[in-house]
Amino acid sequence: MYKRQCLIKSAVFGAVLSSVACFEGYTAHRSAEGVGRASNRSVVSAILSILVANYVLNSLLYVGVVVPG
Amino acid sequence: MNSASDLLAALGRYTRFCLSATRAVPFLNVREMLHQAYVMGVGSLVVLLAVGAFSGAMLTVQGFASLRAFGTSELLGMFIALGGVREVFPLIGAGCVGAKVGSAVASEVATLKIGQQIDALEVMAVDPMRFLVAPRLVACIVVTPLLVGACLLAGLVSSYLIATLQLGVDQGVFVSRLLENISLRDLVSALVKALGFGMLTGTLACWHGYAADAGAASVGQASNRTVVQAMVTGGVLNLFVSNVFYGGLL
Repeated sequence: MYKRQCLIKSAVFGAVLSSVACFEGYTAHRSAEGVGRASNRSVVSAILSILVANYVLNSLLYVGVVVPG
Repeated sequence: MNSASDLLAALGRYTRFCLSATRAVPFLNVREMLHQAYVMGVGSLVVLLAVGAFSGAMLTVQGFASLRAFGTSELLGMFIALGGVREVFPLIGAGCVGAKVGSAVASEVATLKIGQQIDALEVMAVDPMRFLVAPRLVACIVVTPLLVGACLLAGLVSSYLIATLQLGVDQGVFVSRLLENISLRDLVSALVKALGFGMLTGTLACWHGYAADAGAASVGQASNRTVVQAMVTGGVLNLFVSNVFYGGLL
């Protein structure tokens, strides 16, 4: 019933995840501490951006952005 | 971990680590504990508020889309109280504390370990359990419920705003349906979940950080393993606590 929505959401999440992780790894500082910080930041920003993307996709795919009134 | 005996051995090492950390708790360095709690709490507050706000928003939109199909979108407040306050906000909030605080603590301890600074502490006759591990463990247990509470509040505020401003649900109906379905039991179960999550995150993070052997790669590995195992064990804990509070287990 909602196969298309499921596929679209997971594809968008995959794109968000990999780009966030690559960006944080690429801009890490050159030390052991920098590695740890990059992995910490990438987890946090991946969770946040996935929640944001989930809200936007839910609004677009299921509700069609209802305007009150 | 490719065999059952490896898994058992790791469980044994983890249990012994937890026992020696617990034994060090009465002698912990209080100033270090307060500093750690401050760093964890202040550093994660904005992230937790944002996570709560967006998980509340997505839950509200999805609940509205599901309830509208049956013509009962006035029950949205009840949906948020039952689904959000009982499960989603505590679980996502505590998972995010596990990701943020757990990976930070694990990579910090692992960096100290591979820089041989823990060995230096032992040489100076400073017990690393009392000076490093116990303060972080207690700080994590204290801070997680506070952060989960902030996440819960942000989720409620954002679901109210989304329901009234975006979806056009009547605000009086939404708020009364929301409040009449939140009970003390829900808040106590959220507190128990947050305390358990804090314990899991703190012990797993310190243990994996302590087990880092050498090289920058083991720092990333420690923080990665902490996040994954905290999420998995936290999910099991969440299921168990929900069963005790709502399913009549025990």
